[in-house]
Amino acid sequence: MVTVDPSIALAGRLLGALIFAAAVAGKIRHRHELAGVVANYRLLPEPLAASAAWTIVGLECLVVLSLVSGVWLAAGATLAIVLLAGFALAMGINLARGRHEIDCGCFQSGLRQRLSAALVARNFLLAALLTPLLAAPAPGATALQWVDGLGAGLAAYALYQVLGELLSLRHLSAALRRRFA
Amino acid sequence: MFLVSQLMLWVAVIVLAVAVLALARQVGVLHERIAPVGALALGRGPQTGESAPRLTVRTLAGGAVEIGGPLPEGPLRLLFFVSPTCPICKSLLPTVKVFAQSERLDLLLIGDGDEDQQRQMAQRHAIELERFANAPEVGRAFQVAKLPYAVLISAAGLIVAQGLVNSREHLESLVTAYELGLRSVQEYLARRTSHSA
Repeated sequence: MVTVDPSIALAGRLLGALIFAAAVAGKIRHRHELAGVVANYRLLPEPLAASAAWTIVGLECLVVLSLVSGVWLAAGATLAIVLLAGFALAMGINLARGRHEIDCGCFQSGLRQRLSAALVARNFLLAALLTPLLAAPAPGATALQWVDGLGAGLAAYALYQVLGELLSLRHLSAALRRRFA
Repeated sequence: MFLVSQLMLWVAVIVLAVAVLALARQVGVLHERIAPVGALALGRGPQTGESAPRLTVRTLAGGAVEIGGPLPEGPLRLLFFVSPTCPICKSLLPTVKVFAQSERLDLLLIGDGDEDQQRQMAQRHAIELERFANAPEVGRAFQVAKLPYAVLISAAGLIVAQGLVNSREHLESLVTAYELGLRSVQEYLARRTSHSA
């Protein structure tokens, strides 16, 4: 059986749990816009948008629970990867339709964020970081592995936030350039 | 021993990442605050470099003032378009007054609306009635779409700079544009980027 170093598994669990918990919190904070954002993707008939939005929130909660508790870890990780790939696909379809201007629904840092290829790439990067969780972690983590795992998970989450911020800055500076062009 | 050093390293990495995050956020805040660094030319009506429309208007004091054409006195005239219903205009008025004095500009406020309210506004801000004209036709001639709008006219009667102004910085940008021989903040930025490129 393929096993993975416990520090890598810990880092992946922490990163995934933090990202999905933040996603759930963001969606709940913006619950009034949520259905509208989902409807804006124009992938589902309008009446289904609200229930689809809450289904997504429910699935994200399951991911958080699984990654935090370590119960059904492989299933939780699979669900997380499927969700990330699904979001990437939804964004990709709308980018292909030329609908760059819609809000991505990321609800990061309260800024509206438009769709971009970079967001699609970011989702695939996250999915790739979660793949080690599909393998069973080797039992018996040492103290060093705990420190490494938690440290790497927290650092990766902070860097993920930096990435999101830099992506929205890129939009702002592009808007500024256009204004003075 | 090894464990502690590893822990310290991770703490350092996380603190640094958070610091970068804070900096990136700060850059975002700056972006939103300083976006228009100069009076924004709106690109309608008589353009900068053209001669100003010639009109004669009656000031609140009763006298007639000619806009456009060679100026009788002073090197530059500043037309400042205001309205009693525009809050930014009111908050900017004291600044405009001081600015026109320090730059030796011949200030003329152009109002659009109820004459009594404009008299009150002039009184409240201690503006001489000879420097205030209620003349909607001037706004139409310059095609002023947004207030507060300022137009700088040279002694020869040419429009040397104009734009939407929201702060002293924007007003200064008009005079700076005149001194540098540029038409707008847009042109300044374009020139700067082409120099650096």
